[in-house]
Amino acid sequence: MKRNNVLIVDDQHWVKTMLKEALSYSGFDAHVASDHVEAIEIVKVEQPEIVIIDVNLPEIDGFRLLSIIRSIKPDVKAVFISGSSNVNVARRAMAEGALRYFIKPFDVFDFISYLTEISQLDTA
Amino acid sequence: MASERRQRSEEFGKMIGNFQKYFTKSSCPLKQGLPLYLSEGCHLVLIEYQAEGNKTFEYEVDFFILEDEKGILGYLVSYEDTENLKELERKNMQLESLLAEKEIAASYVHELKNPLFSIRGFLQIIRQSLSDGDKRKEYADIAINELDRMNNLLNDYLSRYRAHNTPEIKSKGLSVKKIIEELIVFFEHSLHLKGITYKIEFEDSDLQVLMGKEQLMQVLLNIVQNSIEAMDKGAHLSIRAFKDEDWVCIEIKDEGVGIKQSDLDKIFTPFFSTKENGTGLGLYITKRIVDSNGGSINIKSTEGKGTTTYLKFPRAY
Repeated sequence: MKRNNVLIVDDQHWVKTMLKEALSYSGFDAHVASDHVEAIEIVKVEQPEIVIIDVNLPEIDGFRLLSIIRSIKPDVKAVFISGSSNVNVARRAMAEGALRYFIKPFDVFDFISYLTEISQLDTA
Repeated sequence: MASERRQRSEEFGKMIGNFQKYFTKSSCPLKQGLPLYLSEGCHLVLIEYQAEGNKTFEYEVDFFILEDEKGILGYLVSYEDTENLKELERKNMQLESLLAEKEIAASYVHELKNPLFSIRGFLQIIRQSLSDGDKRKEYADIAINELDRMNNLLNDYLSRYRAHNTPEIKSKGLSVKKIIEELIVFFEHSLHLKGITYKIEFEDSDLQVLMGKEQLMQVLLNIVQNSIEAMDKGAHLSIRAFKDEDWVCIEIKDEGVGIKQSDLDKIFTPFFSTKENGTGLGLYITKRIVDSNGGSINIKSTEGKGTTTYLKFPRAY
C-alpha cells in the first residue's frame, strides 16, 4: 500500500523530529525541512500530498512558503501550525487556503487522526 | 520646586533684557562664543545660560520679528524651560522601555510553547508504546496533564498581556490615522530640533486594523525612532497609509544614512545593532509584533540615500 507522503516544515529541531517520529509510527511517509530552501527541494523531489508548515519560519514566513509550494504542486493540502493563538494569524492561515490551523502544543494523535482523515479525502 | 522655578524665570528675564540689542532684522550672533544665530522669522533656539554659581539653565526660545512697511515694530519672544521638555522625553523613554519589556516577556512565554509541544509529543509517543496496566503509562499521563497545566498558566499570562493589547472582538478596530497622529506628537520635538521636515498622507482617513493600540504604537515608534536617528538636518520623513484589498499598508520613508546591504539580512536578528548603544531588540520585537498580528514587514535601503519600511496589516472593517 502506498504510504501518505507528508512534509513537515518547522525550524524547531525537536518539534519536527517529534512530529516525524509520531507520523512515521502511524504509517505516514514523513519528510522534514527547517526552512523554505529545504522545503522547496523536498517538494520538488517527493511531491508530498500534505504539507505541515509552521507560520514563523526564518527569512520567509509560512504563508509565503505555501504560495511557493503551491506554484510547484497546486493540489497540495496544507495545515498550519503555530504557537500563536492570535485571531488574525489564524484568519490569515485560513485565507491562504489552509485546511486547518493548529495551536502548539496540541495532541499529536488527534492531529494524526485529522491528517489521516484529510489524506483519504481524494481517494474516496 | 516653586522657588527654583521662580529663580529660573528671573534669570531668564535678565538674559532677555540683554538680548534686546542683538535682535536685528538680519542674522547675527547672540553672544560672543555662543554658536547661536537669530534670523528673520519664527525661531526655535536652545540657549544654555551659565548663571552665577556655575548653574546651567536651558530654555527654548521662539522668536518673532513684528514689522510693517515702515520697519520693525518689535519682537515677540516666548520661552520654555527645557526641564519640562526633558521630563517629557524621559517619560517617553520610560514608556518605550516598558512597552519593550512587556513584549520581551511575551516573546519568552511564546517561545516556551515549542519545547512544551515537543516534550508533550514525545511523551505521547512513549505512552503509546506502553501496555495497559503498566505503571509507566500512568506516569506518562500525569506528566502530560502537568504539561497541559503549565500551558494553561502560560496562556493565562498571555491573555492578561493581550487584554491590554488586543481590541475586543466587538470593537471596530484601531484607527491608523489616530495612532500616527499620536505618534507624531511624540516625535514633534525631536523632529523640530533636528530640523527634519515631515509629511503624513492618508489615502483614507478611516483605515482600521485589528490589533492592540500599544502594539501598533510600539511598531511605529521603533521604525520612526530609527529613521529620525539616521537623518541629518534638512532631511525629509514621509509616512503614507493606504489600503490594498484586505490590507492596510503603512510606508515610512526616510532620507537617512541607510543600511549596508550586508547588514540588511541581519536587522531582524535579536541583539544585532549598528548603533553604538543599541540593544538590537527594536526591530526584532517589531517583526515579532507584526508577525503575531498576521502582518508583514519589509525594509528596503540604499546606503547614503535612505530607508523605506513597508508594513502591512490585515484590514478591519
